[in-house]
Amino acid sequence: MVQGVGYALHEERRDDLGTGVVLSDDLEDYRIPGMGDVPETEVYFHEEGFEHVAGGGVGLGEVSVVGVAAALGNAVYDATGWRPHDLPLRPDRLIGGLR
Amino acid sequence: MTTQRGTVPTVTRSTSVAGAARELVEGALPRAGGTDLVTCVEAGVIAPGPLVDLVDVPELRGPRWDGDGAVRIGAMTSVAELGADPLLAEAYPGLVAAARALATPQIRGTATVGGNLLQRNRCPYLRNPAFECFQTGGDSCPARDGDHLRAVVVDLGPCVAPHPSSLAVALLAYDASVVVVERGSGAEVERDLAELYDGTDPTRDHVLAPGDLLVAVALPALVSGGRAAHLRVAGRSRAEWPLVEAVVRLECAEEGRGPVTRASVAVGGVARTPLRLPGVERALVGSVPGRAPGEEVDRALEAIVELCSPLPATGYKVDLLQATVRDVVERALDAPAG
Ligand SMILES: Cc1cc2nc3c(=O)[nH]c(=O)nc-3n(C[C@H](O)[C@H](O)[C@H](O)COP(=O)(O)OP(=O)(O)OC[C@H]3O[C@@H](n4cnc5c(N)ncnc54)[C@H](O)[C@@H]3O)c2cc1C
Ligand code: SF4
Repeated sequence: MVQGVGYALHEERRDDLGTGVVLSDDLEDYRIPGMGDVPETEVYFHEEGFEHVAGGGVGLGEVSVVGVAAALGNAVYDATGWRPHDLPLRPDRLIGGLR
Repeated sequence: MTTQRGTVPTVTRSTSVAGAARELVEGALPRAGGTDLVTCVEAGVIAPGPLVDLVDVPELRGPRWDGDGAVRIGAMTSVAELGADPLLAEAYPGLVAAARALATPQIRGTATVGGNLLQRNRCPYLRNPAFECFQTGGDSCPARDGDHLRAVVVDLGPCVAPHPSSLAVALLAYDASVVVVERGSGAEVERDLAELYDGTDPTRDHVLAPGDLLVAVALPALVSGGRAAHLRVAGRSRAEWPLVEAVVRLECAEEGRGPVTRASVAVGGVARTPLRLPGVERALVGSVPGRAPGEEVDRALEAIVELCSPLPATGYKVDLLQATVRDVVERALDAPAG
């Protein structure tokens, strides 16, 4: 889910369009969330699991990541009336959307 | 310039200002906390050379108060020490708040007041060896026509990287000056902090000559009854550079209970240098603490638009600057009188 916050709010490859050089080539310019960017998170496990998997295991992976962007996008819409259609939900995009 | 990753420089540890100044005349680079210097040398932004480490110079450490309530903060005082000093927090709350909010606890523990004021900017092109620009001996600014999402909104000159120093913003709001031992003459010179920066010079982030030694920042004594607030707006809550940062300081009549008699408003993240907003400052005179700012302040906040000259991708900073200044003005009016 923390990865989902990064995907929704911060993570972005940025290139110099004239040369194709990647500008976001370190963790200062390629932004990921820190502890302060993630709210207290409650995790519910689907304890019965999948019937067709031995031991009833459920792979989490992307399943836990993708919903976060939709949830945050809906939260922005709920708070402001503007519906974002691009990720990450950057400050400049939000301000542009509210203009 | 080539990348010099891994070369080990010779380091001299000086124990006095005079000794450090001698090393500088010989061509050594001053190292304070080293948090910016080391990465700049590695990235080829600063040419490698012998270093003089200032960490053992006691004259450069800590605040020194004179009898009248003015203070000199030594250049080697760490950002964490500044943030933890109760006397400074009482007298200059906007400065201490800015110190507490910048970078990370690890950086604040190592970084110094002097190094913070003299650090290089954080333009994504500057430290990237694939590019040359005005700041690295080139004759263009690839950010201006390229990726400049976090760049200036008040365009003062060819380089569009905002000045990175949070302490400079707060010190500008407190009318601070800097004390410099000049190379060659060895004379100690005091000048306004604003003179440390020249927004129209695209080749460097401060105007000290190689070999000059910053020894302290000097803050004037304040009248009692002052109020202040600091605010930074960033895309992440920690370890992130502000998009806009602002410090407001108000002097109020009747020991702080009466209306504002003098205001200073300084902003960062928006131009090549930290800026004062004289229009907002004038409008704030007469505002009453504890009450919302009046129409005159509203008009001055509106007029910030006229100060701005956004780049294609930085128009959002106009709104952000207005909103941040409004917010920090309201916080200062609501702050307890000092
Ligand atoms: C993740 C992260 C986030 C950050 N966020 C912020 C932020 O929000 N706001 C902010 O302001 N900073 C921020 N910083 C930068 C940090 O504050 C600076 O790196 C630090 O203040 C530099 O201080 P230093 O003592 O380590 O300087 P150094 O790296 O030692 O020196 C910097 C430069 O100044 C010169 N110098 C140092 N002292 C003197 C002196 N006394 N006389 C003459 N020249 C001198 C050096 O030669 C060098 O060129 C951030 C850094 C990181 C890594
Ligand atoms: S903004 Fe300044 S540092 Fe960045 S590429 Fe342009 S000249 Fe260089």
